[in-house]
Amino acid sequence: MKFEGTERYIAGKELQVAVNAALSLQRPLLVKGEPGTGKTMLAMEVASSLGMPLVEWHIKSTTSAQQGRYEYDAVARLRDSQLGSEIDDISHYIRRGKLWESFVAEQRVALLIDEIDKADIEFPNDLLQELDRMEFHVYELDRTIKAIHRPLVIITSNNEKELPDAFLRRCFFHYIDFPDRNTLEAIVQVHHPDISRELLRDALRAFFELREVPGLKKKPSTSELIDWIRLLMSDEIPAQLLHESDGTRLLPPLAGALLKNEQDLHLLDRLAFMHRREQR
Amino acid sequence: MLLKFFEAVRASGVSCTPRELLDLVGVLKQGAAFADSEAFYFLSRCCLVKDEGSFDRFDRAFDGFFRGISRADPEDFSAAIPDEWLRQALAEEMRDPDGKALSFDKLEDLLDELKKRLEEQEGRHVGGSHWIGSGGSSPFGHSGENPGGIRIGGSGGKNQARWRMQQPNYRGLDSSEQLGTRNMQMALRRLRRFTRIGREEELDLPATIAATARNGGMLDIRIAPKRKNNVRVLLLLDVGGSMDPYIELCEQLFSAARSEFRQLEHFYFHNFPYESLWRESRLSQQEVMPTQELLRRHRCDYRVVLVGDAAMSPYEIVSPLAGEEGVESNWVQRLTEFFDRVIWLNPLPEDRWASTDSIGIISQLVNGHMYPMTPDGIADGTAYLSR
Repeated sequence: MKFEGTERYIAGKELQVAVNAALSLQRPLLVKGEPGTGKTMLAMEVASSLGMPLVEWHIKSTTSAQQGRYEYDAVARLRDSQLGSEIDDISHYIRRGKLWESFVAEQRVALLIDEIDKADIEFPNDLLQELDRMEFHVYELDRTIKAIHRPLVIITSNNEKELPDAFLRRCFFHYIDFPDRNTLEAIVQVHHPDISRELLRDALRAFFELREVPGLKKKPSTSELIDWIRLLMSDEIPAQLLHESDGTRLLPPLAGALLKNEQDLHLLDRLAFMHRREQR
Repeated sequence: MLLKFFEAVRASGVSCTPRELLDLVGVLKQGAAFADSEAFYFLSRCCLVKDEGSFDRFDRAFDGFFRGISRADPEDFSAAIPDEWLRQALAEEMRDPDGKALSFDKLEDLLDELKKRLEEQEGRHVGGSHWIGSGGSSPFGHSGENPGGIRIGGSGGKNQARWRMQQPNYRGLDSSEQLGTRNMQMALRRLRRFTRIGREEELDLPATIAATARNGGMLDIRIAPKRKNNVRVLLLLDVGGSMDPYIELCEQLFSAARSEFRQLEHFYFHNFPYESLWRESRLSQQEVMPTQELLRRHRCDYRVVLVGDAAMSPYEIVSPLAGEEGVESNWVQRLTEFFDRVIWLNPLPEDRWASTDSIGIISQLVNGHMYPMTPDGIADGTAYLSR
């Protein structure tokens, strides 16, 4: 089994090496990078290119490690007992989590733990045993769930919180750099094969200029660029318009797709205004 | 050979463990990266380095090990001083409030002169009055006596350098240090504002009992959201040279704050907060956070804690604000005006405050809310913050 990138996802050698290492040693792969550089996409593409089903576990600030294993709904059981229903079978009240699901799958699956840094600071520590030995114990049933096929675990992080050392030691690590102009060109062409050369060139220039603007809360990244170009193409905006609108001075057309933040748009508006005043 | 490489990587300051070395060996055994140095580079990096901030250090160790060249200690100052700093600094005009003699009237001249000398100078100098180097009375270099000078590298002689040009490769304050932090944590504990927010996930016992009784004994379960400490804290730490004796103390504070507040953000500054702060301690230029942006990004209900010894020459404080015209204030003043509650914690013992002018000035800037960095002082400070 080897990952070599897919038609829809450009994977550098660096990334291929990291994924293949994680595959062969059956260790989790931790992927970090700016938001929108394709961390989640990576897991999906790896899974589809290797023919593995993908189990997605999206982490929120309230997610606990236990939810990944299983949840025991004691309240439902209590209620049932009051109503006089049959409550002897505890397993009836146990809901399987994503880890359980991926451990007992019939074939090897890819497990995506998305945005692990969103959870509580102790969250990664609670998963050490699961990721290391790929097993956990269910106390209510007094049974240990052990992975039949060790899943390929891909973990993404936006670096909002630092991850504990013990956790890091157990992972392979890959950092997705922001792609350079050539790679970005290739990425856009993968997503929009019929884009004209001029539009691509001008759009990229405006995009990189926008990224240069100091003080933006959220710099636009790859996924925003792809969305923006899709809009440009569907609206048939002439490439000329991009020429006139120099990214740092005037808002490029449909800038709302690139800048998702009101304050950022406002900042750009102000810069544009100041620039026009200077020219007068 | 791999063992030696592992040692070299560790020596460069990348923290990796035998476990990771074994991983690397394991992958190599499976035939990955056979006769492919590029693949080996990527592979060893993804096994041994777990933080993009350490990539640079790893690169140097890798390079040094496989080419036998050490790039660890460049004596090249011009490379160490980011161009941007010179440009930013040039945009500002410095004043000397006491009218004391400065060897150059304007900072601009000073920086121009520095640039010129950087170009002329080759090699390293100690003493003397002209060249950039250590000791001596030249306005450039470290451990010197010229009060209007610029310090480059070194550890500072007289707390006088106007602008510290040292590349800030200060080490990150280690928050894992737990011993001794307990009493600080207890002091910080006062800074709490409990609110029930988010998903309902806790059994509300009194309400459940009441509801069940009303229900004639049939269970009626009530749940409520968990109580959470909703205070937001912004910690700004001085990591300048004069703070070196207090590193341990700051580490304790940092680690206590880290475990106490869920919503804690921290930035570093050098000596006095100017127009930019540093986000991380490891990398330098890339991790700059403009102070203006800091104000934009945070709501005014953040509690701001500045930590520093506040010892510097007075004109480092009273220089006019760079960039915007007509604004005659400095950044601490702006922070104080913007945020509801700002305090300054000073690790210097309280009885020595009076002997340094700048401490008095800064204390005024934060409206008198300067506290000593002792458990009692922190408790007083947090009492004000939580008001």
